[in-house]
Amino acid sequence: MEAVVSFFSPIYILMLAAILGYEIIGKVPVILHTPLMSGTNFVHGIVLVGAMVALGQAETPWSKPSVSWPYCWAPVMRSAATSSPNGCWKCSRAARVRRSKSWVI
Amino acid sequence: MGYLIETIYFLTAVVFIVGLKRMSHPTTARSGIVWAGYGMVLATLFSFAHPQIQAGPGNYFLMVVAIAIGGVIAWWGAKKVEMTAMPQMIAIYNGMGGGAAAAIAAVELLKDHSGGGPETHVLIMAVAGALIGAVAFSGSVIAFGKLQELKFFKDDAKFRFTGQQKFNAAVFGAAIVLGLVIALSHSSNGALISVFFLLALAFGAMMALPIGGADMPVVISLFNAFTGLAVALEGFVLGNSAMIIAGIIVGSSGTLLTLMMAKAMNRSVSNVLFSNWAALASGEAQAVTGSLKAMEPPDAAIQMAYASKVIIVPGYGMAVAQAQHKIWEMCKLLIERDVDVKFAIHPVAGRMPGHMNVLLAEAGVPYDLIFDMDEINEEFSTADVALVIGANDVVNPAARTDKSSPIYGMPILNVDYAKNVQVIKRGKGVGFAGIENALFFADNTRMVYGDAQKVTAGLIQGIKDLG
Repeated sequence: MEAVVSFFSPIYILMLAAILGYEIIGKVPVILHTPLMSGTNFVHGIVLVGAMVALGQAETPWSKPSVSWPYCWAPVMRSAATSSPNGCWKCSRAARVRRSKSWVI
Repeated sequence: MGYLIETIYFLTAVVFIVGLKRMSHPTTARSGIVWAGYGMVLATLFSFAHPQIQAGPGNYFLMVVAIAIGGVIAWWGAKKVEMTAMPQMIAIYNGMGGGAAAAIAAVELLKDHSGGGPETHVLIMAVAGALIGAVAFSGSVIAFGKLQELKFFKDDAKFRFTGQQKFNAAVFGAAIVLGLVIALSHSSNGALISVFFLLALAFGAMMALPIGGADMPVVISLFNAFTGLAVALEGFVLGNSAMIIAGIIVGSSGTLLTLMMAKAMNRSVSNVLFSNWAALASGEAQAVTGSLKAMEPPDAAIQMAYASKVIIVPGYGMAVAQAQHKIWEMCKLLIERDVDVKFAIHPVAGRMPGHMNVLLAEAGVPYDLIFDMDEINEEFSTADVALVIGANDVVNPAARTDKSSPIYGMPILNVDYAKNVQVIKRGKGVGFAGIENALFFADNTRMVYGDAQKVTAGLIQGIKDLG
């Protein structure tokens, strides 16, 4: 029974997260599409954590170059992607609503 | 230690969800990304103490070096990027994410499974994540090249050949079969796995190559969803809940975003991916009658200054010329003269949904002057002047009438219903879709040739001269 539960619990997580993602993005105004794409891009930067764990498990990364290159590659690429909030930041800063009517001269 | 790490991952997931929720509203968008940023920093720092990391200090050294290299490149890149280059940047960083997920899968697959490795269903997920991640990676690289307008990708037609869809399907099928073989046989054969990855990478590239640049935003959004899915699948493999949650939220929201964008172009996603647009266009397009009539900026300025209502339609040309600040300056002069000024934004204007809104907001244009297509399309018939700045395909009336046109059926802005139309355009070339625009030849249309920023400066001067 325990094996069945442990098999299914990630599937429940997946289902709930999928619905959540759909609901969160459902009513987004067009103005935020670009920043949001950059933002979700940032969020899947969490793969960095996986890359770190994978790299951490490597036994002899120096002696097995054929195996070690993906170990190194993953964190490099991912931390590159993780820094994309800079772009999102730029976009959303620009997208900030200016509610003040002071522009009417 | 395990409990601590899992607690941190749990908090990270909560913070991500709150962050994304906040990102979906203009007023809170900036704080949203900050929230998500805190989550990321937290998860990264504590992952150094992850119990599965059992190797020596050499590995920690590699980790820090890798993160430092990637971080510096990305920080420098993001700092330098122009707002117009944002789509490419999103494409390439997104590809990096897919590549990283694929690399993690490669690591898991290459491990020696002889001593009771992971179960078959875990390996199937690893293979699936590898396939999706690799496709997202190579596809995004191609998308980047196209959006960057690299010479090699200039001509979409040279990447098209007969039977292309069948060939691509065969490559994709071969990758799936090979992946299943690897997963079911618990093989860690390096050669087999390399061929599998090569097939997956080749499929991603070949899928993206024939797609026209105008469709790229939809494709990037799709690859974004792919990457999210790949990350979630690798999260399963590593037993990392934070990765599963973050990945699948991105996957589902990316899918929704893709569908919204495709809908805005009145096309289905499969139509975007698998129909060769230019091939369609080779049919006989309706002949465009009339002639192009040029107008000088001072005359255009007078027409607008004495109008009671002006609707401005920006497009990619405005983004390229960085003309948004000058345009807003001009609008303020018009508003001073009691002209009713409005902006009309087509859902796929520019190279990204929301591209124009972001640029206009950056220039300081108030939110309440900017209207979506549905809100403003009725109003064009009451406008004295419709000013089109560097937009082309989204205002082409052929989409309404010409069944042979590749953009037939796409909803367009009804610019041609305005009493007068002014079009600011660099030259006589055709738009991104590569088709002639009947609007430019209409009797009520005047062409104002030149770089959008220079022309707008001329318009400002013209309005000021009127006193």
